[in-house]
Amino acid sequence: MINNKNNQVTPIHQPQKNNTPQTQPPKNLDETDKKILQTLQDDFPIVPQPWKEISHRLNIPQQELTTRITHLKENGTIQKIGPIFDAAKIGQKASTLVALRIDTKKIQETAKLINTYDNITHNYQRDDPYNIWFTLTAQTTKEINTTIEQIRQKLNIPPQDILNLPTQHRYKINATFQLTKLP
Amino acid sequence: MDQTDIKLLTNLKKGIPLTDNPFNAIATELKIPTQEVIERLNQLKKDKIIRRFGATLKPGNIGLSSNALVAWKVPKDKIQEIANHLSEIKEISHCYERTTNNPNWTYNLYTVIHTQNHTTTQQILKELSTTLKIEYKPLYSTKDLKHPQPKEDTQC
Repeated sequence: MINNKNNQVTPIHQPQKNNTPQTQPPKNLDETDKKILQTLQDDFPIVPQPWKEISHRLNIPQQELTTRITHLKENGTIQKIGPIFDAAKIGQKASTLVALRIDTKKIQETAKLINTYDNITHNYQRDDPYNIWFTLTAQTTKEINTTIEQIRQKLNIPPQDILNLPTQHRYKINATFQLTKLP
Repeated sequence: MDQTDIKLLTNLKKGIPLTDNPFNAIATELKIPTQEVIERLNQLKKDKIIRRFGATLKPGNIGLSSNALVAWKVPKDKIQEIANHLSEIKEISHCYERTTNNPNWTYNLYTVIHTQNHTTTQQILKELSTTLKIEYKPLYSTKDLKHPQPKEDTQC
């Protein structure tokens, strides 16, 4: 068993006030789930049999490990496990943030259309008159503009209902979170 | 970095499977030994082309229920100083300077913030805005439109 008595960390869950969670959070993340998530996020072994390696490291049978990971994927906690890299490093040199002002009834169909394009990295509904926000990368600015114009025409959006906010400079990117301390 | 590296990264974009040897399929596809896949990935990580190899977590599912994109209006000559200040905040995961195409939307700096609840987010933003003397607009995310909701899709 894992001995973590000296490594207790304040639980990240706190009572929710004035706030509706975006989705139903998983019923319970126990300490084992947290250790798994922390390892998968921060210290993933790039070896031929990574699940076996992690199961040894955390002292969890491999079957239990993969069952837990499967569950965490199914409930949306893990979005993917793989390489996170800068699109710019493989030639996608242009990137932008796009906002659309869309009739709320058309959110789903709009999202569906946007998601058919490659190189959409994020796509969120947001609490604002500009209610759909997505990020897009491409090899050139021209390509980005073409894609935006295509989307605009397909959805028949007036130009004033689109914001195109190209990246000028990236100061920070680090979307990792602390759930527990690893031994 | 060569074409094989690019193919490797592109094909692994959606992630690796939960099979015993998750890199075998990609190795077969690229017609290289699994060991070479492993070596290439480790090298790409060492060269910082892969920023991180691992799980991408959904903040809302790990107790961070308040997620907002925040647009800031920053004087041009202060942008670097303010961007650096915002980047130091641990709840802020992204900080980007952007240009705009719309004279009615003049925000030029964008951050993403994750906290336990909107009250906490509001407190942090208010404090930052007062300290830095800049206007901001929080854009709370209400739905992830790219990653299907678990009820609609349970693929793994």
